[in-house]
Amino acid sequence: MNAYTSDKQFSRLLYTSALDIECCGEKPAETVRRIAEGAAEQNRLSDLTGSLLFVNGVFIQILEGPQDEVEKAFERICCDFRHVDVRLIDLINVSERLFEGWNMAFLSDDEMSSLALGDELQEIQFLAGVNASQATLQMRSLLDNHSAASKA
Amino acid sequence: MRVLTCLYHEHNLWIVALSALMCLVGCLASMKLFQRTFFESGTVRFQWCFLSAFTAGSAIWATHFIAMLGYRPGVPVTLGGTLTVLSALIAVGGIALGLMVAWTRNRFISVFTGGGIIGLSIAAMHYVGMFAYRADGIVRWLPEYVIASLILTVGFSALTIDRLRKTGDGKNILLPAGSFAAAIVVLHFTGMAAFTVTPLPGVQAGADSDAFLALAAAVAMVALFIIGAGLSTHLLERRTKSKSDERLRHIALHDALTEVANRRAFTEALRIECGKLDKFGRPFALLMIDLDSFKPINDTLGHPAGDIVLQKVAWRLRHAVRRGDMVARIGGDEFAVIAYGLNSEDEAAALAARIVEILGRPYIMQGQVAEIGASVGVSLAPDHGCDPGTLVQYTDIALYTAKRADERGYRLFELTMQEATQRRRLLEVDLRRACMREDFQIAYQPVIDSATGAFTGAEALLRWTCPKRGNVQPSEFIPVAEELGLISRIGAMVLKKACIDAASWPGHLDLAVNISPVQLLDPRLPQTVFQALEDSGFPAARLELEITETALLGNDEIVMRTLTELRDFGIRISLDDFGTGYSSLSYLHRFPINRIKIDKSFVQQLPADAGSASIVRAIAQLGQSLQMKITAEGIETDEQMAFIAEHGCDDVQGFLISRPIDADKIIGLFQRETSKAAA
Ligand SMILES: Cc1cc2nc3c(=O)[nH]c(=O)nc-3n(C[C@H](O)[C@H](O)[C@H](O)COP(=O)(O)O)c2cc1C
Repeated sequence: MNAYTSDKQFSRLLYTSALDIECCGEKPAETVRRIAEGAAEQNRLSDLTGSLLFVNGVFIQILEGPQDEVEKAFERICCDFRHVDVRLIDLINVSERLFEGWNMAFLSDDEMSSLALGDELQEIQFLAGVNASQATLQMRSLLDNHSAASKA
Repeated sequence: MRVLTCLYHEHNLWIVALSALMCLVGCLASMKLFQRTFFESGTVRFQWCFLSAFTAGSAIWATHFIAMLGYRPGVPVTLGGTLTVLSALIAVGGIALGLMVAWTRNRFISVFTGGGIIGLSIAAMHYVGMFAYRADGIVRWLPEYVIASLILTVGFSALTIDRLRKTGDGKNILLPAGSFAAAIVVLHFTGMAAFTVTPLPGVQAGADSDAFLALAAAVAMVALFIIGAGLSTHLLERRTKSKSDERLRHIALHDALTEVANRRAFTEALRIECGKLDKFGRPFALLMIDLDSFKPINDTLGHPAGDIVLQKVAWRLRHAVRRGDMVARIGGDEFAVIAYGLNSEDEAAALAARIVEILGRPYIMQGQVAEIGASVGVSLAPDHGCDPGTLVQYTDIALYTAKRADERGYRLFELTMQEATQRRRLLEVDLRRACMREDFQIAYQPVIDSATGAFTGAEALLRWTCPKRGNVQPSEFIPVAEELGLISRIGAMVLKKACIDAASWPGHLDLAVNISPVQLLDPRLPQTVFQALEDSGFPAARLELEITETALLGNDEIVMRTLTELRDFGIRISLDDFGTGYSSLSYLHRFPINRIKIDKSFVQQLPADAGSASIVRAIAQLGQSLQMKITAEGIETDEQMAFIAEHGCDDVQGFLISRPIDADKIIGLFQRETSKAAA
């Protein structure tokens, strides 16, 4: 599918954005949940994996998969008015997926989440601004810990 | 009268009805096909002619044949096969011939000859068919009816062609079809009136009615098949044609790259909407969108990437507008939106804000990232105008204002904008004129050595005295000149004049000339400088070019190449307004810079302001360690002078020493000093 035959067959992107408070009315949490579900649904169809964090009203999302699918999904994301201030932080080619099996893992700092999770999310939010690859790895390990905890 | 009595008394009316139906359907189909032959050309035309003749011929023949089956002569009847077939062929051939004649431009030939041939072939078919019809009785022909039938059918056929020519490719073919049906029916029944059979005594009428009915139905069916085939060919072909017409229309009204409406469609839609405004008072908003920093994408990522961005922009615009609004691409990177039924400023502002937001988001294509922004101008109909010209003009003014605002975004049209824009346009006109006439002056501000007080040179400053406006500040007209692309010409002129003036100064004095950031990006700059030096004979070693920090921002390679070339020629470079822009020490290190000029905003706060004092001190030290000369600008008081001298700035300029003065005065100043020194 790719023009080049290097082993870096996937694209991975990291962006942040802010939930548009005006659009989502009374129930921001509801809107956020719907966005996450829609994303996971769509990504299943598009062979995309990744993770979506929602912390302090800010989305931090990683999307990975075939280059053209990632680009199409990002275009969809850019056409969505439920969030604003979309900032592309990182876009790289990678040889393998980091989020294999997660069409769009979703974590948020809502009332239900533990204090520890909240702290970790905030740390990632900070990292996203300064060191994209570190933020990516942190999101990955957060997912391991968290899903282990929730399965238990 | 015999025609009607014959029809009534001697025919099976059911079969006659079938034949009439046959005739009607056949005629309608035939007319559709005839029409086609009038509009096609080349071989296709003959193919359509064949199809028409075949369909019409079958229709006529079947009408006749079925009607004959419904005829009850009261005697036994047989049909001759050969002649029956021949009669059908006559009909087909005759109509084909008639049609071909009817295509001629000459109306008379077309109608009378073409129509005549068709009429006569109908008649020939009928009478040949009659010879195939053998009745066991005494057959008698009434010649007056035969003649009448010929005249009538030729008349109706000619009328058919005539009507057909009038109808063109119009939808309504009832008239020619009716007249053609008349040609057939009238001929048939008049022809039948001409035909009488007297039964032979003793011969019983055959009871073949049922068999005839079955035969009639079979013939009708076959004929209808033929007609149906002809008609459906026509319809099918028309559908593909209308599809391709639609495709052509789509191409004509849409932008090929982005698939949104093109300029033509936009203009048309705007005109129509203004018309509706007149009639129904339906308001709407017009938005024009211009992409900021789109050109660099084409330049750096290539045109294919630029094209993808444009496609995405169009796509996003369609997302941002409301359902039914029109999005059009009206220029390279210009788009427009007509928002129907929208009339409040708030709604328009909200839509414009959505557009600015969505277009400002990042674009990625093939692993590359592009960031662009959009400026939007908005006007409302009928609040701001009711005709396309005014609306476009006002929207343009709003867009123009939006593009120039510090904070990019959207602007709704206001009348005051018009004035501002008008003022600026006039300034542009005057500036262009001044540029053409080289109507600029140069003033020189002397620079002195802070230690000795002796002149070291002067800085050339551009002055424009417009005949209408008087003195115009450089800060006002230089940005305009940059935007209009006039700055390189003006700059070249300044260089030339200043070098000529300075060539007559005493040999130890330097000349400093300002170079704008736009000029610095112009690869022809070194050539311009060398030319000015050569023409005036002024030595390169005494010329210093002053650039600003902003010029160094982000254009590393081009600027570096230009500066290096200039330095290699012996020309010195100084960094003007130091400390006000994006001061980065790495510039000083990387670029071939010989001098730093401390901005007057620091100097003027000396010596009282501690912050400014330490900045000046720091810059002076920096200069020493990087082995660059330091000039302090804007010296106005003795205290400032003393501070500067003490902290090791090499040179100073400012009102304390001298205001900028014209070329004659400065040479006087210089010569006085030289003669004083000599004395
Ligand atoms: C925060 C956020 C994250 C999103 N993530 C994804 C995503 O991962 N994949 C995707 O296809 N769309 C994503 N979307 C886009 C929307 O879900 C989009 O509206 C959806 O794909 C619907 O597409 P449609 O316009 O084809 O119906 C996201 C939108 C938002 C606001």
